[in-house]
Amino acid sequence: MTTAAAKHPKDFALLQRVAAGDEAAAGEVMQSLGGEMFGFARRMLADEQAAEDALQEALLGLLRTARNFDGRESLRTWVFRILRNKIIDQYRKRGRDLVVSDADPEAASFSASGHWKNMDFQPWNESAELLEVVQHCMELLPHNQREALQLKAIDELSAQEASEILGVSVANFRQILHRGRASVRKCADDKMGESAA
Amino acid sequence: MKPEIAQRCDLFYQVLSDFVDGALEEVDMTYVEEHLRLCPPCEVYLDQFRAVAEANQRLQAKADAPEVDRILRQVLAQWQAAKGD
Ligand SMILES: [Zn+2]
Repeated sequence: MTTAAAKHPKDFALLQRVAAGDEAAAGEVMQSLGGEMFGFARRMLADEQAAEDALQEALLGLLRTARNFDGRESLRTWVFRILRNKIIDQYRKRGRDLVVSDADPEAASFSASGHWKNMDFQPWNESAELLEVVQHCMELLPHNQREALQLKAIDELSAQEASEILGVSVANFRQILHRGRASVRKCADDKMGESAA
Repeated sequence: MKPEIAQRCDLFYQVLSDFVDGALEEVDMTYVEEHLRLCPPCEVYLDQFRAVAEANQRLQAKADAPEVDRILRQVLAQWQAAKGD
């Protein structure tokens, strides 16, 4: 892979310097992405130590394999894919279940004519509680849906980048995201109903 | 282009994420808006769906710097030690 073929020449040049052992370049890469990566690891693992381990392994992997980066995708996409795999490793190491689901939470909610079987949606009260409820409900999501929501939440990370990180098509990413949001809505609706009663 | 979106809650539901993210084509957008005018339950559903999407964005706060800086220093040290081998 030559620089000419790289779509992200700046990222490519920076990682070439890392591959050559340039400490300043290594520091720059880690400074620019470390905080964001840790945030993602923390939210995915909900465990400080596991998140630290995942971040550490991902960053070390990044520095050690810098020469493999070809600049066809952005550095951020490349690094988040490494991190994503280290997070999955942490799940396995800690014996935690990794549930993946394609199920649509509303699959059985519509009549043959396409209308809600149960239309009794009640507006939620404006409350500070909603953030807590959503956070709780997100922790209950299947792993792949949680990944989609967490990637979506990262500033200026496009659906294209998120799908590259997850190794799926953009359409597939958008579907996983949709089902994740719908699952959280359903879960939150149950909780919000409880507190109103 | 799905004119049935205006009539069917299930099709409306399918495009909600794209609608909330502004990723829907303009034609479909008009069908979604038409559906909303006709269907109060979906209006409530949309409000909740959007509230979830927004809460997800708000929950994303950058991690505190101190521990990240410590980890970065450790990683840099490990990397350099390995280079010296
Ligand atoms: Zn409807």
